[in-house]
Amino acid sequence: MSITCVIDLSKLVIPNKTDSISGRGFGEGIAEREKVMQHLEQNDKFIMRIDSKKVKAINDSFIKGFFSEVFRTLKSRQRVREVFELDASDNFKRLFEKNWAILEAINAAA
Amino acid sequence: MPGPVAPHPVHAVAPIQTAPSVRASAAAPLLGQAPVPVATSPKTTVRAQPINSTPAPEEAAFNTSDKLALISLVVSVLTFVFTLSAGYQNKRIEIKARKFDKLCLEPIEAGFKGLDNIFANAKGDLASVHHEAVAEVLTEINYLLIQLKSIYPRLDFDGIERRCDKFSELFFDCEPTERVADYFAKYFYTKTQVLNSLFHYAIEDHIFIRLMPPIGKWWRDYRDGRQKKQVAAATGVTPTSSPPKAEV
Repeated sequence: MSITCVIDLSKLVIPNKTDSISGRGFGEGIAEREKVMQHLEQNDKFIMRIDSKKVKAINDSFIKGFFSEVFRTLKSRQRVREVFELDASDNFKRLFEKNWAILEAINAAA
Repeated sequence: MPGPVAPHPVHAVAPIQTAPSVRASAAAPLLGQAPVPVATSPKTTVRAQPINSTPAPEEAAFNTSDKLALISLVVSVLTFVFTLSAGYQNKRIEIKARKFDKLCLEPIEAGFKGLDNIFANAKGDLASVHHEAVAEVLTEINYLLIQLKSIYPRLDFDGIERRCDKFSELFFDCEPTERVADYFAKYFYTKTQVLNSLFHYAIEDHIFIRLMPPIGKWWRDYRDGRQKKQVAAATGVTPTSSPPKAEV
């Protein structure tokens, strides 16, 4: 039976110290910590929550690191959209969409 | 009694300036006159010119002036074809260059212009203030390039992406006290590398290979063949990799 996991990216920043999330390695580490691939095997879904008040910017590298394995499995943006729901501002939604498009193209080329 | 007959006068001709070996052995018979033997001396050369002799058929069809005319005609036709071809290629280059400029260079330069403004007008600001803007522009550039990958498959997208990501990560990992101006040199280096990569592709790959397919194909085959030979010589195994994908 599939469940829905919530990944709150706002928890990755330290208030009054950092307000941005960056790094490919960091993204890969968070995906591993949240056991994303294991959940995907169970057909679980995800809600990615980003509080714009706490998180000001997210780097492309973080998104690419987080989703690189996911795209190797799901292949297309459409499938990723079905599994990952974004609870974030429009700016962040656009950012994720563009990076998903880039990852899709990279995986298609590979 | 008639006296002794005077010998027939010999038509002596003034010697001409030719080599001693080139000499006529007999004078040509003139119309109405019997052939007369010509006394030749080692120092006297006679030019012989038959008047009513007919030229060989080949000579009549292609004499020297005809040959020259034919060569001139061939050269003219070749020049015309070459001029037409050069004009056509020139037009194609212009069209390809304009298309590449509109589709690729202009949008990317516009993106960098946004970053140029930040680095020019907000030098004193804390770098962390502009994280979002920098990430947005660099994402936009990568997104644009990935869309162009289907049109320009040989474009070094991965290299450009890596450079943009490297700078983006560096900028995001700034110290809280660091200013925008502290990252100008790194930004300028990244921008130069990205634009260099695009120009390199435009000049050396896109225009050359696409506009001169036979030369481009020959060059790729030659290059790949050499690489394969080197690999085979080094490893003793003949590689079986497929040739690079051709431009659409």
